[in-house]
Order: sequence, then structure tokens, then C-alpha cells
Amino acid sequence: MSKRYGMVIDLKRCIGCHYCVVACKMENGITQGSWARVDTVGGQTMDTASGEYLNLIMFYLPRLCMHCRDAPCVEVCPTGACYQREDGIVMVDYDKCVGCKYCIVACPYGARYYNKEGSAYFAAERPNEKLGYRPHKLHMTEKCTLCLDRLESGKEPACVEVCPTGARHFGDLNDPQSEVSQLIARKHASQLLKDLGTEPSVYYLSP
Amino acid sequence: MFQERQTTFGWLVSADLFLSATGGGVFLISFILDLLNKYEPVARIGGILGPILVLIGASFLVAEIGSKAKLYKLFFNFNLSSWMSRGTWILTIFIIFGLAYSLTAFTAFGWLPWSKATALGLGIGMVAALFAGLATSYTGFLFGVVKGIPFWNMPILPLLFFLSGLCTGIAIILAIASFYNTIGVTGFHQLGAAGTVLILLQLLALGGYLEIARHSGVTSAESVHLLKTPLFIGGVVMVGLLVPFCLLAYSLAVRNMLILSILGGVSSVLLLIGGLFQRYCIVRAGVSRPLCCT
Repeated sequence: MSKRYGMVIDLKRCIGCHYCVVACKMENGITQGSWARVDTVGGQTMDTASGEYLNLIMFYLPRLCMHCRDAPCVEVCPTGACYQREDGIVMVDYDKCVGCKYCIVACPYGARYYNKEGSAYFAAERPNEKLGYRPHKLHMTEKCTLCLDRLESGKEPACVEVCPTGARHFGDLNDPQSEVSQLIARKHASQLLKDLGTEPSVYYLSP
Repeated sequence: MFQERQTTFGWLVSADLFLSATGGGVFLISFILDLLNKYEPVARIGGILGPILVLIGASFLVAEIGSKAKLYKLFFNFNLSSWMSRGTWILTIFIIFGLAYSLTAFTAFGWLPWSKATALGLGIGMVAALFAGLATSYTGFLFGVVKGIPFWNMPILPLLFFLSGLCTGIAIILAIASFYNTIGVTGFHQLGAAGTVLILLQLLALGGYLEIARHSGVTSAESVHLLKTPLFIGGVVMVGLLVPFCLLAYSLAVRNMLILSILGGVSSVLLLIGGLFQRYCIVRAGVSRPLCCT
């Protein structure tokens, strides 16, 4: 059986430091927005809780592309630019992308971004270009690639590597012995918006 | 929590949706008038305006995409499961067949080997009419398949867009009739009656859509709540539907051609404004489902 890459994020361990977001931006040379984000679940604004004193609720929800098995973005893409690799990673083929933004609207996880501006604060080459990674293309949709360039050189995604609390676990979902499969089975991991039938490859452990 | 209002699509996409549906609607009505052998000058102009409006709509999509150089990719890469891809071909076939059918009505294109009267011409017209119907409603499917936005993910949306397209289509026909004044009192009355029925049907579909949305969960109810704006209530419901309904209903009792022309012209402008605003309001009211709750 081929690999299916996935991630398990332990919400109990996430402290909302946004280190994963910074690492993602640095690794991939992203200027506008970010392919990863960390939201606060609780109050109306960042780092605030809901409820009343002694009965407060707050946790952090790291978000990224879910690399769904039945990805809505792949289904709606008019040119087939959004495609899924055999290992489950959903990618964008810049040679085919027309930048219609239909995938951005169709993604229920808000994980896609439109690259409308040029380099805002990298003077010449971006870090990803220096490393020989895929360059960005203007007026096209971008998203998390699970750091495919790093995976190909035997490394883990940047967000997984830098997480100071070890909240992120990465591996092969098709391998029952992998850490991610064990965590999913043992700790009853859940997926976001499971009822939509998208079968995300990112799982969460309850806070 | 994390219930986000979509901000990706705005006026440009709304204008494209509106013009696609209006172009399809005006062609469909013109073709029916041709089949009934009625109001030839009006049907002739309406028939040619349909594909042209769709072409103008496509230019808004090009503006949204940001570069027309990328547009060719839509034709060379086909994804059967995508409604945008299907829409590209629906509109393309409609434009080609619509122009092939309508241009024969103009003397400058008399050299074409078919005319509206020939079997070939009629066949071309029927294909164009079929794709005009699809052009009028496909945008409802385009939005209807977006599962993450419950307000759009409703089976009634294509019907609403289809009816709205017919309404704005008949608005164009009325505008042409008011301008050229060639269809007589009976013509105005017949088109006015058709217009009032279509507006009534659209009002019913819109009411049904909002009522279903209101009872289909918190997120779609939030979308309905977001529609409580002057643009929707005033621009779409009042100015875009109720006022033209009243004007057209009143016109059925009028026999003076000048007043009929004014009533028809004003109604058509209001219907068109309402149609555009309706697309924009529905597009902007899209709210994505919350990822999790506290």
C-alpha cells in the first residue's frame, strides 16, 4: 500500500506560540498571509477565553491544509491544477492554475490563499528560492504542501520540526505502526467537519 | 467560533453571474418569440444581445482572474467534475451557437448557408436555446456544490438563478420594446403579463430559499441575517422585484403607448438593477461553517 501522509495535532500541548506559523512562512518564503495559522477557540479575540471566571474555556486550534482524501478543491478546480499525489498530498500545478479562486471558496477549512502581491520584504531571492524550492507564482492559489521539498530530502514539515511542545506529529496514516496511526487509534483523534465527507488527513487530539 | 464570511468573491464575480444568466435569459425568450413568430424586431435584437452579454460577463471573470493570458488554460485543461469547467464550455457553446443563430437575422450575414427559417438554422437555434437555459442556471450549481457554505449549498439555488435570469432577460426584451415601440399595446400587455408571472415566481423562489436557509442550521441562518441590509431589502426586494411587479401589473390596464413604454422601460431598468444586486447579496452573504465550537 502506498503512503498517505498525515498529521496529528495534540490540542492539549499547543500553547499558541505561533512558532509553526513563522517557520512555515520562513521555510516557504511566504509574504502575504500564511499557509498555517493558529486560532484561539474561546473568546472573540486572540488569546481570550469564553465563559466566566473559574469556568473559562480556551484552547488553540492550529490550522493548515487538511490534504483531504476527497478534497473539494480538487473536485471544483476547472483545469485540474489542484491534484492529489499518490501519497495524499494535495498540490497546485502552477502551469494549469488560472487563479479563478474557486478552490479558495470551496475549501471548507479556509486553507487556500491567493498570491496577489510580489515579494513584500524579501529583497531579492526568497528563502525558499535560495533553497531551490518551488518558486511562488503571482495571481495563483497557494497552500500548504506539507513542506514537500523537505519531505523529499528526508525531513519533516517545518511546523512539525519547530513545535516547542511536540504538539505536532507527522507520518504515514496507512502504516498502522506509525506514530500518527497509533495516536489516532489510541487517543480517539477527530477530524474537522467530518460530516462533510472530505476525509481530512489532519487529525486533532482533544484539548 | 470560526464562522467566517467569505470575502474572496465580490462585485466582479457577481457581475459575471448576472450577465451570464441575463444573456441566457434574453436569448431564451427571444428564441421562444421567434418560434411563436412574434415581435420580430425585438426578438432579433434580443437574440444577438444574449451572447454579447455573456461575452461581457466573461470579461469580468478575466478581470477577476487578473490576466487574460491564463484564460486559454480553461479550454485546454478540462475537469469533468468542476462546474466552472462545465460552465466554460456551456458559455462557449452558447456564444458560438447563439451568434450563429442570431446573426442570420441581419442582412450583413445573409451569406451564411442557413437562416432561422431552415431546418439547420432551427437546429442551431435549439442547441443555442438549450445552452442558454444552462447558462442561466449553471451558476446556481457552481455555488451549490460548495459544501462549506451552507447558504449556497442548497438545491433551490439553481432554480432561483434560472428564474432571476429569465426575469432580467425579459427586462432586456421590455427595454428593447420600449425603445423601438414596435410591438403595440397587445405586445406590451403580453410581455408585461409574462414579466409579472416571472417576478412572482422569482419572489416565491427567493422567499422559499431564504426560509429553507433560515431553518437549515445556525450558519445559513447567519447568512440570512446578513441579508438584512438596505441593499437587499431595498435594492433587491423592493426596487428590484416589488416595484417592477406593481408597474408591470399596472401596465396591463394601460392602453397609452407612451405610458406603456415608460412603464416598460422603468421596470426593465429596476429588474436589471435588482438582478445584479441579488447576485451580489447572495455571494457576499456566504458564511463558512464553523470548524469547531466552544
